[in-house]
Amino acid sequence: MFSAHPARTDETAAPGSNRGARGGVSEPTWKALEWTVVGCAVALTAWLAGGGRSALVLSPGDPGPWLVPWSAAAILAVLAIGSGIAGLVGRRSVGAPREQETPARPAGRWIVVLLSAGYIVVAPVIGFGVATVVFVVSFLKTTSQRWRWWSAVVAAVALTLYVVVLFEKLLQVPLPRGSIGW
Amino acid sequence: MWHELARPEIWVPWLLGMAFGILVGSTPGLTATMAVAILLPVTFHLPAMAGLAVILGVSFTAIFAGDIPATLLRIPGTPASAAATLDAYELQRQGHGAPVLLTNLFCSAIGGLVGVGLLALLAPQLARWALRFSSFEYFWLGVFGLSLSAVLTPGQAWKGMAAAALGVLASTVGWDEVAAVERYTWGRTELFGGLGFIPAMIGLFGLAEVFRSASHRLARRPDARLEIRSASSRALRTVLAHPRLILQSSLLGTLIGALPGAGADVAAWVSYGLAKRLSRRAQQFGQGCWEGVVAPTSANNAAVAGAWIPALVFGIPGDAVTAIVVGAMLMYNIRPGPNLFHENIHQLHLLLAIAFLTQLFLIPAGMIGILGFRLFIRLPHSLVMSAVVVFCVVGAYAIEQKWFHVMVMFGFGLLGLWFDRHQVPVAPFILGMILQPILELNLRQGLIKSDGRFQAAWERPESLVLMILTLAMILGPAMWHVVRRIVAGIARPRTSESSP
Repeated sequence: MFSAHPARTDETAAPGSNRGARGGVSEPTWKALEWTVVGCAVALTAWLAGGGRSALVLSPGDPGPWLVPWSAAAILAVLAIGSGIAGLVGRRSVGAPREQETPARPAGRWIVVLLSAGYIVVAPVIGFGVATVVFVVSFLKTTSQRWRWWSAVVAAVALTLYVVVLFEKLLQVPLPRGSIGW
Repeated sequence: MWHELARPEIWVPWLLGMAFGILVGSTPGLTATMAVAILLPVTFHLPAMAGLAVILGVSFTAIFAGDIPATLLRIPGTPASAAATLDAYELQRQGHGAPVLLTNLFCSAIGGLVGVGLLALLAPQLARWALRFSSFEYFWLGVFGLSLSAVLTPGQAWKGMAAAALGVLASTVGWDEVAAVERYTWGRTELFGGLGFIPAMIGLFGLAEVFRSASHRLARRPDARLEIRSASSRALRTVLAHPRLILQSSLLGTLIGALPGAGADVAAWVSYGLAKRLSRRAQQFGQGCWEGVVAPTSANNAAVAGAWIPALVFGIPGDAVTAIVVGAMLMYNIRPGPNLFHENIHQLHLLLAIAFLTQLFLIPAGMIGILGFRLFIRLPHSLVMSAVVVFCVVGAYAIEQKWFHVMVMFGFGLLGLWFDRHQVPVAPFILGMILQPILELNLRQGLIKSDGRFQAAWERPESLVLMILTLAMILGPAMWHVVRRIVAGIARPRTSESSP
């Protein structure tokens, strides 16, 4: 039989505690405004990037290549502006998130984002194998306290070997070699 | 046909895919969609049927495997297992862990079999009807599917619609073949082929999940022991005691799964709700009721099969997993749609046979998965997450051996993080990306055929019905809200007048 002990998480922060104020404006309003700015910027870029280009109409009756992207951009802009207005007016249904779990370590995700970005930039330069070992060791050491240097290196080398054998040997996918050669 | 499936180049990757599905599905935070997205580039190096067998095997097993941590840790392995968590976890706490897991497994297999049966029964009939469709019907069907996914996904409907619009916009990047013009490429040749939906999927589901989970501490691992024999008989007795509930949940799951946008998670919740409403033991739901385990676990696997109905018949995917599969089928030169039922009947029968056999293989694979979970659960979470990043990078690169796709994948990972911050559903975005070529091509073909007359889009009765359905779905909830407020406004003065 299973005698599984129920798991206990360390997350004790109350839901909805992200409703902090920023200069007197509640976070949901900020989020709604962020939506407005990003949505409008994307829609405007989509509009301007397609504007002024003369599309070659190969078939009579064809509305051209910009009808669909511009329609999508227009829908996006309307929804983004609507969310901003509703957020400012204070309608709870638009800007306010319902229950949201609060991250236990909010900085953790940005460390992982930076590590992943570094890995993706460096790998084609120094080679996939070396970059993967360096990335996995850095990942293990920064995201968990339990890894010692030697165990992190062993795990990283094992994982890299597994991936290289699987892709290069079995699936015949050549991985980037870089300046070091592997 | 069966001897083709017995070839090692098909069944070996198929079973390995099922094992991978168990591994990913049972890891909290990793979804069935993510399992398919990560494995998809690998399948391109296999024969077409083997690739599709792998994808089918992964999607069905990952949905079941999600029930394992749901039962043991109260953490659903995939969103489709969330409904099963309530009663399964309570029963596990009461000492019924192993029978609950095996009940999950048997119900998943039966649900899947019912779903595949309905798929085989309904899809050819629907395909015959779909042959009468013109370009505009396909256009409206695409818009209907996209809107349905935006409205039905959890959270606020406007965010779903915005995500769908953004997905459509993202998919227009690249070379437009109808007018021979480049769109949003800014002269970069890498973008001529588009952003690529596979790097997008891997980024949105794989990398974004790693970013998200990096800020959350993890649960302590349970110590699990399993006695299969005694638990099996208890589970079998439970299954035999609820044949009507299993059939009801499987049928409902298949039908809900067939609706675009409503995937296995919605199917599981609706079946759970219906089972509770119809049960004589409604009060016990949530406190360790076997019916609360049987209903959602039968429905979620049935919904996976149901999602294949619109995907195969119309080329309109029912959920995120099938959205990826439709894309993969196009890459294998298998064009989903009514013609598949006439031109590629052999391939279709092979697909159905694979789906059917997957349900049977699910039982031994699931048992191994339950036993293996005990070992896997001891792997450090940080190691699993770093491996996911590495697989995301290699997966995105392996498609065409271009590092540009890895960067696109990273960009979509960041977008997934932003979506998570704003609680934007990802499924409508993916459906937008997948459906954009179908929508645009059919709209423009229809307009070319009708000399640019937009009225032609609703002149045929089928088009008109689909258009009205779409508009009703988008505007219906808002109009209903307005009507209720007006009715309440009229009723209030009357009640105040009548009160002394």
